[in-house]
Amino acid sequence: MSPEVNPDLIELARESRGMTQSALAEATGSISQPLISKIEHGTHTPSPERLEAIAAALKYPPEFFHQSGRIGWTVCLHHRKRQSMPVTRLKMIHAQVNIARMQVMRLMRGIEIDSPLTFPRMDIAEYESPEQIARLARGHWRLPIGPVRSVIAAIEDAGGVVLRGDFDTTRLDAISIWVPGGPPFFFMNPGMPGDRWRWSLAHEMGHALMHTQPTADQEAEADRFASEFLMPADEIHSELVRLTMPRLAELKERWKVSMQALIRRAYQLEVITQRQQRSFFMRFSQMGYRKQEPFPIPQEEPQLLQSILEVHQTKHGYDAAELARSAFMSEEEFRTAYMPAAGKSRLRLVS
Amino acid sequence: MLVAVASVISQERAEEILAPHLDAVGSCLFNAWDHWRTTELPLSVSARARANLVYDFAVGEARSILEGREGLVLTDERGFLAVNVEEKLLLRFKKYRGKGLATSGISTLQKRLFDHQQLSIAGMEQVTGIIAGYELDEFQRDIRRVAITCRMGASLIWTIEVSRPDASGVVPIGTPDQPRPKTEVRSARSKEEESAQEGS
Repeated sequence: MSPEVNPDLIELARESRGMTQSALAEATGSISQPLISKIEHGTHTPSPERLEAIAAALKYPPEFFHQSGRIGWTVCLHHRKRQSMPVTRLKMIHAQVNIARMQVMRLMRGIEIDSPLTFPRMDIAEYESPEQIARLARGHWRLPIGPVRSVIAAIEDAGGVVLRGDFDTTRLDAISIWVPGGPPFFFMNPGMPGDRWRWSLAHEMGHALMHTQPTADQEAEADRFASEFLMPADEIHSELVRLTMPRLAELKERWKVSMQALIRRAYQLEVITQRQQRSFFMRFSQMGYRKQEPFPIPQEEPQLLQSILEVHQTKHGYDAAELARSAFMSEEEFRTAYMPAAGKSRLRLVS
Repeated sequence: MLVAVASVISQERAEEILAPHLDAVGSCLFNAWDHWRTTELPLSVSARARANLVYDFAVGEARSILEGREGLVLTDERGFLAVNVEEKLLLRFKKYRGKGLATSGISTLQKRLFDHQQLSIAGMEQVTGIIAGYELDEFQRDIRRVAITCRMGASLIWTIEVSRPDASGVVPIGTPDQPRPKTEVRSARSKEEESAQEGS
């Protein structure tokens, strides 16, 4: 008897390639669009031959479609958008990160991850404010007073997984997804300066901790979390007094946040007036620094996935082809996503 | 009372005299600034203290880069380091205050003599005093420009721009993450399983 086909994964795989049902039907050359629709709804089980055709058209191995498991978009998935995006594009990216999460979960099999800390759920409804949750998270993760040296280290030490995800757009900074039974995943767009990378991670971390259910103000709440997590009011307040441009540059280096985030923080904490804030931003505009600030902060580097692959290679003796098979990927796609010949591992999240 | 001198060297003539030394003079200031940027201090220092340190570093660089160079003689007979350039120019290092390339400092007699082109140095009958200085960017994190200027009192007579010899663009601030104790990742397989796999 053939193993069961998971219809959700056919839809997910199709969306990850940015294909409509008609486009998939056409690509298979032998299956009609109405039949694709029935297969995706689970009202028709494809024969092994038809599954082969679908798998070939979608460039996933047939085994991929036999996986059970839950898909993240129905559970908890957040993204930090900079500009509006077409829904179809967003759906495609969501499908891609879901599949990447499943691939990494497969790669985590046979691996023991001993995280010194945990990732707690702190539902916003049960706490005073995002700021309170940020302070509790810093305490829970035993972060020292002052700037957070590495946001990625804080996440990975708590068992979270951070991946570079090439969204092929600058409109989206980050996506987080946390499916029960697994660790939270953070997909970061690599095309960002280090300070925005840290802010986006902290923002997504706020979602993961606070938002098991969507809330009306969830984006503002995640920003407030990030602000307090990266720049705790009690600790930064005195440093923002007598703010000048040179002082902003010094503080950027120390706190590893953008100068514009520092200006906003100074205003939030009532260290500067609204007029002063506006004046700073006008000077930034005049100098062309609103979009790209000087004194870039180096991007932080995720380490967990690299360590997992190292264990597979050195302890289990797996090569790239075997690892690709275990993640239900083609070797080529696996190498591009997780083992680029040189440089940083970067998931290519485009079809 | 200060008496105005008849003339100072023209910009064209100064460019001619300085041409073989421009990069070396510029390096004294750029290197001094780079030295400052990589100096770790236990506390934040004032702009004045920073300018003093950068000046001292520039003097050190001048002694190492300019001393012994043909056509240049270093002198500190007036209580500050000056570079006699081809016996025509007397160059000293300063920090510029802003886009007008003015310098600051206590108005000593030496300063006033220098500013009014009335400073004399033994063996030099007529000398034009010039400043090799640096102007910082708005954030005071990097040098915006290095220029050699000639002033007569409050008036700027001419300016020669000096570019960084190996301009390499923006240098990221901060340091990449240091190695940290990592979450431990290990094989979940028992030794028996691994041996079985190795044997298969």
